[in-house]
Amino acid sequence: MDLSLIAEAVVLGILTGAVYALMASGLTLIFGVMDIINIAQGAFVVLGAYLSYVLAQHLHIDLFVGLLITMPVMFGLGVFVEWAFIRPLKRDRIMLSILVTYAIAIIIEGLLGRIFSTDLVRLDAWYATRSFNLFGFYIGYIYLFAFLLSVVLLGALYLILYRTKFGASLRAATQNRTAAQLIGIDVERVSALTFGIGVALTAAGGVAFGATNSFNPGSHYDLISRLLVIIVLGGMGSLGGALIASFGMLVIEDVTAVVWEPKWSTTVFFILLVLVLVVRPQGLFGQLAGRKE
Amino acid sequence: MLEVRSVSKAYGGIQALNVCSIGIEHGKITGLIGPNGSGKTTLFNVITGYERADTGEVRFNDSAITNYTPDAVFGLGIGRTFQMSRVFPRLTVVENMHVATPQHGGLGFFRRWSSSREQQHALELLEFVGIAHLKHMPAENLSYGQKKLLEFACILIAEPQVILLDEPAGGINPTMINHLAGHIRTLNQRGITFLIVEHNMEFVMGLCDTVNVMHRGETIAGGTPAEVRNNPAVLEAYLGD
Amino acid sequence: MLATVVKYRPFAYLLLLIVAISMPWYAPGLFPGISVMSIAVLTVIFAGAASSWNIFSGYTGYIALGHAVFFGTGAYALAIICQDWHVKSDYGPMMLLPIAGLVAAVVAVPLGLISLRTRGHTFVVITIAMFFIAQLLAYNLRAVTHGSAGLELPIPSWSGDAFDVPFYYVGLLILLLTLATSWWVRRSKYGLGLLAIRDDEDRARGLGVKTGSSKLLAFVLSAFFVGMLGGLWAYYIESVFPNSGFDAIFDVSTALMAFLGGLGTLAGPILGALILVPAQQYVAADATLTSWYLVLYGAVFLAVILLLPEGIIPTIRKRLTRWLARRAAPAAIAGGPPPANQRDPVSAATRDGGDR
Repeated sequence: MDLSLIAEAVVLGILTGAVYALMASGLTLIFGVMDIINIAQGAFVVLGAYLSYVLAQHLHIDLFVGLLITMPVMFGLGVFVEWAFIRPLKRDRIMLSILVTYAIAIIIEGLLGRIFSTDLVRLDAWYATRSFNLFGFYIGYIYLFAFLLSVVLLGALYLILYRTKFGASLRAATQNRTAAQLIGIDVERVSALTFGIGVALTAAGGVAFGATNSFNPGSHYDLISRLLVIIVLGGMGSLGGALIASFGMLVIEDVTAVVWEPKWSTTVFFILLVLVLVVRPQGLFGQLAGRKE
Repeated sequence: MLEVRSVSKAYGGIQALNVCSIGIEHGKITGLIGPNGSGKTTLFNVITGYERADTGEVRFNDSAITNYTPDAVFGLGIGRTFQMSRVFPRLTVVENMHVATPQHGGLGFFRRWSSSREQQHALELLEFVGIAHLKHMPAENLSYGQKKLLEFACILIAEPQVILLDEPAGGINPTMINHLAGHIRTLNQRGITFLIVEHNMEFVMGLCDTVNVMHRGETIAGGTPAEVRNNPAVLEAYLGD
Repeated sequence: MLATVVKYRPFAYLLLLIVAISMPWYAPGLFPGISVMSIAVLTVIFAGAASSWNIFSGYTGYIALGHAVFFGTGAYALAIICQDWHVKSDYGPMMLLPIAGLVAAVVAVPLGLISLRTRGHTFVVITIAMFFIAQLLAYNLRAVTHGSAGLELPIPSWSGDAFDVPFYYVGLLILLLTLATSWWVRRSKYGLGLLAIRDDEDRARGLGVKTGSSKLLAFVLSAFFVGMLGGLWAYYIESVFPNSGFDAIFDVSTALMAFLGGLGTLAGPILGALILVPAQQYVAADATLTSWYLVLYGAVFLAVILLLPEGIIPTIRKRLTRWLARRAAPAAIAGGPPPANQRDPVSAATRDGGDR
């Protein structure tokens, strides 16, 4: 058992875990405030990746610099989607929101397929293919940059949540939507903005994802399935849970690939979820369903 | 018949029930009053298994039923209603009734949900509470008061020995309240024991044989309505908050 | 007039049944140039799948998005049995379908026990996770499933124009069985318990409904039928692969069909399948349409959800009831709220709500 291989897998897991944490945090935040699962989150990531692709290929804008454009655009898109398609849902929200966001995901997939074809592409930059040497491992620069991006954005998210008035409203709405309304918080506005933030984060996730994987419009299925596992494992609505689950799952997955076989690493991902949920149906940091009144 | 012995329950830092003890006599109508937050609903929840007690015991007919699940408690013949009346919104009134009809073993896979005898019984009860004319209406279309009556009727169809009512008079008009009091008396004469949580003093004092008062998670007084009305500790509990 | 409609309902069903049974005779003539019968086979298979999904998700309200697990399990089970027992005869595999269903039902027991400990969104996600596990197992357990090489099923001896017909009838039979079960459940005390679980599970439990075993039984029942249909489908396509037997689209399609027609109704899933399967087949046939197809599909999907949130049949039923109520104003019509102008003294006290 080559310890250095395992160590390398752990490091890689942590680095990629940060990227998934970024995407998952948006997803869990949306759930916390609006009580819906945004199945289109994966598709938004892919969309973000394609947007960065266009900016890089045609306008020669660096991937990270391009975020200054793509993130606001995606934010606006998110707010629009929430207002147009999710706010009207009144009854059976669980079922309908899943179907609605799934519909949005396939619309995005179809549009992207129309515009870009289904060929695999990859985001390119000098740092996407070069690596540097850290304690004997070779780590791609892109992973480091993506990790730093995630840290910065998650830090900014933390500041918003805990140091701004909006953040306080958001957290209140997550804890108790009705009570928040009663004390004058415009829950609908908070929902729209939260959805916007969640989608804006996917733009950043898109850069990281697109530079480290080849993708095409259909890549969102695999992505969303992993993100769902992560947020459920961490406990839906819990940001800390999403972070821990992201790192945990990615590290376990990468280590399994090294210690056992790569073909089983993804399966382990899902099996672990099932195991955790058997013992703790609400995930690591989530809350139990069921009302006692 | 139903006894709560030294039950305590805390949520986070709040002590909802503090070594609370209460006894309900067979065949009587017992009232439970107290300012908001005194733990009345929590006590109900603990008795009927919707919440677990941290310490203490609940006894029914001399056997311990502490921390039994809600369906087990219901199976013993203890029924309850909820403060915010709970009905099955998408089922019709009569379907709501049939959910509660006694299930004798199995899952009822091979039984139609309304045998003619059960149907008869359900309609009688709906007549009794006065909403029989609405039997095919989806429960969600009922008014607040009608939902309370439906909830009450659902409990009755299971022929319980004890009924716990959580604020039955809340939010309904005086005529209705009198009807309700009348129903309760009639049923009590047929042998059903009642424990009623209420804020409406007239209702409680006029109906109950015994009244208990709770404050901050414990019982501070008990006795006939007259005794309780004149008890200084009770007055203080209400005014002090 | 509502009474008249209700009285003639059984005749309408009989007529539909006759139309369905005699399809192979008139359909190819009606739609020349399209392989109608193959669309018909897939339609009955999906209608059956959507109906049996409905027995669980429609009645209990637990949205399961992993039923493809059972479809694929049934498909693989049949393929493996046919291989190991050297089943060759044309109707042999058909007769083994109940075993495929049984395998799926047995698999459903542990899966159900695990997943039904959760509720709401968590339940949805855990069913999705189980689906991916099943698909991954199909890829990785090569000894049993041959991995991505897939498995083959015996090829029936009937061919040509009449190839689809036996499949159609068997599919129709399974569909009718599923419908009968769904209908029976709906009128039983058990089914009422399921609906109560959907509306308020904790209260249902508090009133004596055995929620745990009720949910599990519905789950296993729906798995049984879906498993049989998976087997039939595999035999029809003559092969099964990890991503065809376990197809994520299957889950969403069946959910959409049931939902489109009306979740929890009997005819809803069938109506949904009748609309969606031919549409899907039509577009799938033309490869260049695929991307537009997705956009269109998604857009229609969205429109339906936002405009008909309850599904077609319940919406029609409500509109019809309201229309009939308006035509017969004084009489009390079942299912609608009482007209505001109705005030009779006897029930006034209670109808006012007894509210303040």
